[in-house]
Amino acid sequence: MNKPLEIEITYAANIARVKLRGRLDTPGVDRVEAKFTSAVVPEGKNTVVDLSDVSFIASMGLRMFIGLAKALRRNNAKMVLFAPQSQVNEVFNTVVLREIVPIVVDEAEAVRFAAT
Amino acid sequence: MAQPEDHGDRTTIYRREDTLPEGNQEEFGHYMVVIGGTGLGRRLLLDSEPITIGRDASCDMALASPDVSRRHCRLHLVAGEVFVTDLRSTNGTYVDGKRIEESMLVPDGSIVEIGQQVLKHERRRTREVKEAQELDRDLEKARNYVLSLLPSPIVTGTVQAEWFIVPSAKVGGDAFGYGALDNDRFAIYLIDVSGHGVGAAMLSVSILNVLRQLALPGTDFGRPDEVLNRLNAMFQMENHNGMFFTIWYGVYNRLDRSLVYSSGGHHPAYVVSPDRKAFVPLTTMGPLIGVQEDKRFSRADTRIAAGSALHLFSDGVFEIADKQSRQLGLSEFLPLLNQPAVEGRSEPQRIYQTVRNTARPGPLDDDFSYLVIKFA
Repeated sequence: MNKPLEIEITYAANIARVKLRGRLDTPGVDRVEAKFTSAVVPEGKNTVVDLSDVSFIASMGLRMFIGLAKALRRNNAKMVLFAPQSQVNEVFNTVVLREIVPIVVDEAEAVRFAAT
Repeated sequence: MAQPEDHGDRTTIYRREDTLPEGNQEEFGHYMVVIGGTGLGRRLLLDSEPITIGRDASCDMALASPDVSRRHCRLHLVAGEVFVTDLRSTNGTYVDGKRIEESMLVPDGSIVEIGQQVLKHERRRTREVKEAQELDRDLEKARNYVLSLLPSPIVTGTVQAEWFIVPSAKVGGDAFGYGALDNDRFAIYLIDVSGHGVGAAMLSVSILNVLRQLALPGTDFGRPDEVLNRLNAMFQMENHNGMFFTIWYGVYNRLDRSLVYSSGGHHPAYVVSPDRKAFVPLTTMGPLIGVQEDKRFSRADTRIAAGSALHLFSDGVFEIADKQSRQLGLSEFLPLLNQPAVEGRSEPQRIYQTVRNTARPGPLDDDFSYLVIKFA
C-alpha cells in the first residue's frame, strides 16, 4: 500500500518552499491541494516546489500545478518546480508543461527564477 | 440456488441472492467484492452457506479459466469471521499474496486470489452497500453510454480497426474514434480527459461528439493541426470545470499512403513494421488542449508501408504498478510492440493480457484504452 502524499510548507525571504513526498495521484491531490492553495495563492507568494521525492504524477497532479500557476500569475506571483524524478520529468516533457510552469534542476536555480 | 447469468462470455458467475435483508439497515454484512477478473465490482454476500469457487459449473462461482481447478476453494463464515479453504487446487489459493495450506482467516480488507480472479473481503453496513450498489448502477449506465459511442471494429477492407477498453473507475475520461472523411481519407483519434469518473466522462463525450459529427466550424478535418487549434479554442479549462485533455489525431490517405498527424500533450502513437521488428514514434510534442488559449499546434506526416499497424493508446496502458509495487512507464511497455501475435486474440487484447499479468492485483490505476489500425 502506498503511503499518503505528504506536504511541507516553509517560508524564507518572501518565497514559499513546498516539499511534496509520495504520489501525485487523485487521492494525493485531494489530500494536499486545499492546503497548498491556501498557503500561497491568497497572498500571491512566489513559490518553489521540491519534487525530488515525488515518484509519480497523474493528470490530477498536472491539473493542480497548472491551476496554481495560473492563480499565482493573476496575483503577480510565480511558481517554479525543481528536481523532478526521471519518470515525472518524462510526463512533464510529454505534456510540454514547461511552457506553463518553469521546471529547473535544483532549488538554487528555482529560487533565482522565482525572485526575478 | 440463484439462476446463472449469461454474460455472453466464457465465464458464468452464479450469484448468491445479494439483495439486502429486511430489517435493521445498520447490520453488518460480509461481502467478497470482485476487484480483478470477471464481473468487476460484483458483491457476493457471505451467510450461513459456504460458497464454493472453481471451474465446475456446479460451483457457486464458476470460473472458466484453465488456471482454476474444478473445485478450487471454499469461502465460509464461522462465528462472524470469514475463512477460505483450499480444496487441493493445482495452482493454489492466495490470501494477501501468500499461498494458503488448508484454511486461512480472511480479515476485513484482505485479498483472495484464485487464478486471475481477485476478491476483496469487505465488512460493511448493509445500508452503505445498498447506497454503493445504487451508485454502481448509475455509473454502469454512464459507462455503457460512453461505450455505445465508440465505433465498431472494422474487420474487412484496406484499413481495419480493432480496440479494447477497460475503464478504471466504472467510467473514465478516455475516448477514441475513427472513420472515413471521404473516399480517400480516414481519420483516427484518441482523447484522454484529466481525471476520471463522471465529470471526465461527460467532457470526453462532448469532445467525441464534436469529432464524430465533424462539428468544428470552418475546420478542415483532414488537417490535424487545424482540428487541434479549434478544439483548444473551444475547450479552455476555465470554461470546463478546470479540466483539460490530451489528444492524438491523424488522417490517413490511401491514395499516397500518407499519414498526417498532430498531438497535444499526448505520448506518441507508434507505427509497427509488418515484421514487428521495428516501431516508429509519431508525435508533434504539442501541449495539453485547453490550457493555453493562444497556443497554435503543428502537424507532421509520414508514409505508411503496406502491412504496418498504428498503435494508439492511453497512458493508463503503461503507467502501472507491478506486483512489487514498482511504478512502470512507457520504456518498460514498448517492447510489447515487438512481441508476436497470439492466436485467437486481437492485438489490443494481447497487450491488455500482458499488462494485466504484469500489474499488481486489483483494478488498473487508470483507463486502459488501446486502438490498432492495420493498413493493407
